[in-house]
Amino acid sequence: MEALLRYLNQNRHRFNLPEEKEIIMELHAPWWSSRTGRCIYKVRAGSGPKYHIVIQDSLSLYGVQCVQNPYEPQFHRLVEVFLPARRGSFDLDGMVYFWSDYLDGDSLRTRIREKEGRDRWSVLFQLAHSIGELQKKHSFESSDFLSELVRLSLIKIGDDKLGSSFMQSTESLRGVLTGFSRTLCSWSHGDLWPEDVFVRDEALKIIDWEWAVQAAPIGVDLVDLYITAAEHILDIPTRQAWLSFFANRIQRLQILATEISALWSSVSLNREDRKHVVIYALIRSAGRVIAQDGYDMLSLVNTYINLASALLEDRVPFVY
Amino acid sequence: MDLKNSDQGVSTSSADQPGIRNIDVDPGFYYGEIPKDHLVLILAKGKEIDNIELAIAEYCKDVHNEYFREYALDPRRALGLKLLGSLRGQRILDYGCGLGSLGILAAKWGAHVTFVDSCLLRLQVAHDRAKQNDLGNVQFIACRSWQSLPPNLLPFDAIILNGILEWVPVTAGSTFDDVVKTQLDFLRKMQQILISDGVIFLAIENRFALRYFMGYPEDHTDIPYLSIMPRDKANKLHLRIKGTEYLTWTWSLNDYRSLLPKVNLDLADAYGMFPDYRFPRLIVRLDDKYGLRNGMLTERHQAFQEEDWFMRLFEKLERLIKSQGPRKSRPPNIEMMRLTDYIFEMGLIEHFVYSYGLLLKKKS
Repeated sequence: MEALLRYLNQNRHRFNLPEEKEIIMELHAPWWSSRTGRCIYKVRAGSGPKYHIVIQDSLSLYGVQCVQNPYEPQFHRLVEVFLPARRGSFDLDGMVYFWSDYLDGDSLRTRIREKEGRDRWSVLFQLAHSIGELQKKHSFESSDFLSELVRLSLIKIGDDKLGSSFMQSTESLRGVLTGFSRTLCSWSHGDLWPEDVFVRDEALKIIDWEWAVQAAPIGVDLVDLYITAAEHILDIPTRQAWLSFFANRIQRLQILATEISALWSSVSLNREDRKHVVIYALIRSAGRVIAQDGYDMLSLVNTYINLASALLEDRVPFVY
Repeated sequence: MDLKNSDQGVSTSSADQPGIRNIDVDPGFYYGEIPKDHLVLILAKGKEIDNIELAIAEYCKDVHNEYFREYALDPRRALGLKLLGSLRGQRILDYGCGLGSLGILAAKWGAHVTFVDSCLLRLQVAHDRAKQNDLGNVQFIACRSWQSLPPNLLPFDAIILNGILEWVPVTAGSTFDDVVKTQLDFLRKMQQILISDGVIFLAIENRFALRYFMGYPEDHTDIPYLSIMPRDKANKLHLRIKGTEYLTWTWSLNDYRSLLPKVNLDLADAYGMFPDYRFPRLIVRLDDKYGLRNGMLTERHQAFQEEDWFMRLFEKLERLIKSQGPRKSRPPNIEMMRLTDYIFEMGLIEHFVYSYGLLLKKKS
């Protein structure tokens, strides 16, 4: 930490840290225990309570490497509107550090959970619409979207045995996804949930782009957003959240379901391809769970696989 | 897991365990958070499924022991090691490594780690975890105390002492009169096996933690107010309640400042660890008064709430099992918050945090 502090001191202008004030750094553990969770350095200048920047290093506490696609120029240009205004990365002692402005607004989850009234949900729908429109704008035909997901999942899983467990459990589903009649892709955040979205002065900023990919079937982030809003705002259990999504059964989230449907209609995806997008979302969720929880949550992985199989075999209603 | 049948073929009597160099440890000696036979069972299960970490996780799930799960497996336990900067290629001694919760992660981050503990079974868990994670940059030494560490150890870049210093007089067989001498001898030895610009990471409770003034039982003895009393009076109380001398001394910030130079060490940097050093979620430098206040007000408060749930259950069980014995008292949160603000205003907050993470360097 001494070296990091020294680096910040020597490069104050780069981080917009005032010259005359002492730099103070706090070390935070992630809120949730996870194999992919990294420690967070929050930096203040002077003794006041305001954080200026936040820094994360490229190695999780568990020793798993992290990748940050938004720091790649060809990627961050696409999603600039959702990123903190100032951000960057630097190397120090063989470690890459990613930094950005500290976002001190409410997270979307907090905002919706703690506010009263029906219009508190409008910001979620506004976010979904903005993401949908931007992804549509950047959409392109690609048949190679799975390899990027697999490569990223294996890096983040960072363990050969767990990696082969992921590959085995998703093998047949990945086979199914080669059968898209039309593979319209766009960039994807990869792990979107309401705690990653910050609302400040009506602007929406998104953090934690570690699962971001250049190409994923269009609309998959909105599926994630629906499921995680159901789980983390409405406290609906995972399996129930997915089944409710398939059938569009959650009244509070119907506008979001309509947004997803409208996006798919606007790019002329047929019903089978829409199912395939959802299966991709389920495979990606399985990869995330294995990477984050290792062996602890293999039952949840089975839930995802079973849901995907049920969807494929028309054993559950799918209204999109 | 079948907890009734714990004879699963793991040797607890043999002096030699593959991959572990046993200097002078009695293979039967055990200390720990769970019963010895349970740990034996976990080790056997780990061998059977070739995954000790999964075996621990399954055990904790079976017996609903979330504390042990976090203690053994949560990577956030190693947050304090981030204070040491990049560990890649560093030679590290994890003295009193226990189940390897910190050292294993240090090895995963690229350090060469020497694990030392006085309990062979716990060291076996650390060893199996290293094996499971294909870590070749590790070695394991079982020895009763620092006095029997092998003489041919290469000097270390860093030494981890996580919750160790207070137990040193107990493991060394000290008496009340030579507790400080024993602790200083131990630190002197650590200093001697450190390279010239190496660092010791010492994580430990603060003798004068605010919670102790509020009546919270002292962590190592379970006796309220013990650590904040004059040592001789504390010893008398300990003798009366426990029948043994008071040996598990923790130090105050000023103690470190005055005692460390005696063993050629300097307090290079000092941090408050919240809610405590065992399960750190926030680490703040002691000169950051605002950060310390924030840590004490928010993190500590949250921890109390979590702890309350656990403590209530624990107390209920304790009362069911035995109708007597000291009742755990908990400081009221509101009072704690008021006092925190008070000592913050007085500019004394760094002396009252619950636990410290200290970086010690050789005196220049």
